[in-house]
Amino acid sequence: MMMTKTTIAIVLAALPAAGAAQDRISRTRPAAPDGVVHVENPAGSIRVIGWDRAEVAVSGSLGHGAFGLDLRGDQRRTVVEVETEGNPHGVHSEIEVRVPAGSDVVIESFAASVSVSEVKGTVTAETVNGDIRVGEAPREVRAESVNGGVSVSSRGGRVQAESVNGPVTVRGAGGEINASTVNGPLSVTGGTFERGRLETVNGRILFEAGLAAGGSLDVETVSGEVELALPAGTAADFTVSTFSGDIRNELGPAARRASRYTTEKELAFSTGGGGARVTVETLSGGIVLRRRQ
Amino acid sequence: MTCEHVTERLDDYLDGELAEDAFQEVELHLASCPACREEERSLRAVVERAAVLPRHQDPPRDLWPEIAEEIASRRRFTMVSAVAARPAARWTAGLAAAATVVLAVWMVSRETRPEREIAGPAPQGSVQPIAAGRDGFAEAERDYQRATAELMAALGARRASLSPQTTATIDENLRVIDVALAEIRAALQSDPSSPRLGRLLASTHEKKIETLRRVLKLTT
Repeated sequence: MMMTKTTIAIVLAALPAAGAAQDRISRTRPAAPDGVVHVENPAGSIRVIGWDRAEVAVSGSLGHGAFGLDLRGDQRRTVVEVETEGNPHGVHSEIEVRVPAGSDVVIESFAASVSVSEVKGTVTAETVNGDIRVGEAPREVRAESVNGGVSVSSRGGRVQAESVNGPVTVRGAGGEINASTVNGPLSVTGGTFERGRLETVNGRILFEAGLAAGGSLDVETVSGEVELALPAGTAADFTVSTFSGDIRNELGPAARRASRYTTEKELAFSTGGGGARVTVETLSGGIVLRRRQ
Repeated sequence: MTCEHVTERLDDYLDGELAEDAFQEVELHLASCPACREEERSLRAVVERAAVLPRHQDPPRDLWPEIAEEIASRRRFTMVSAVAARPAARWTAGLAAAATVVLAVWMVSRETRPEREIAGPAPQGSVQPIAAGRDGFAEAERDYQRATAELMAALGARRASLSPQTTATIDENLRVIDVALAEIRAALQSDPSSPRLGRLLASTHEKKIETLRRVLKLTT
């Protein structure tokens, strides 16, 4: 169906008006350098940035259906909430929130993309349909999405990153990691971990990072492929098994059949004198163990 | 206001029976306390589910003897086969989680029954250990499936408020898990005594329950 020139002209004429109908916001309030900031925006985008001022500043635009921005609380706790009427999931607001860098940040959304940077406190972010990106140096990250991807670039502490369908990507982290997906790929690269647990049902798992002396790494998937790439000199005890997948081991001996009656393969060996504990279990997913380049 | 104070007031908060200043205090605390917010969501989910339960429906069977025994003795299901400590703990945690859901739903349905109907069931019997092998796995699976069914029912009640894209994603991922469960069961047919397969079966059931919980939590 072709649009007439008149129709197109009417549509184009209406666009600026629609844009203008969105409310611009710019609000600030004082906040402690290490307080808690809670941000809630049902849909659109949420960008949280740490800064060196003792105040929370919110700017951006409220979508159609939003009747205001609630900025309340006290020095220790600040609440930033987009207030909506009707179905909040269709109200797309774009907000940027500057918070004291030492704050703990809690973000809740339904369909907003979320990004957090330069925050040193604990970051907790939840959304259903949006992506979550957390960068730089929070001491702890907890991020959950159903359909969006979760991406964490963090230098240390603890990371819990979970998505049902989206990819989970963790770069340059360390300390403790707990990550899972159902269907999405899971990738952990860079950094050195003391404890790790990586799980998927169907998603591919890549761990290309270091393992601390005496640390542990548990990897489990039903049908996803697993690839572990560890630095030369890693001292670890490996227990690897798959029911019907293949095992390719470039770090030690080849796998053997666990039973003459089934296809199950298993492999137990040590590198560097042992110490850290690594377990990998799959049903049908193939497993590759190799040295990190 | 401390977490303890908030917990004490959550019932009234959800019922809308708090005075305005107390309501604001609780809300402010919930906004900054993930643990209390989780508590509030769990309670709200139970209340929502209670609201749609028939007032006189009995549970599918009387779960009280098992649940009471579980509470009283803290005994846990254990696999008979020689399974390493971590995997055994995973079974335990999974069944405990499933039992928790069953317990919550049972308690709700109990609370909706007339007083005379709920007087009574005293703790009796004991929870039988789960043996490896087909019968043991089947029994363990029934616990998980019961818990899953309750969560699916709760999700069903929420579907109307979700977008087609979201429901399609959820359904696709539940299907992926069901396919995985079917593959593990097929493997167990050929090696019923495998503790690894048993662990994987339990773990995958846990993932289904955890996925449903996550979806319910995030879409509340």
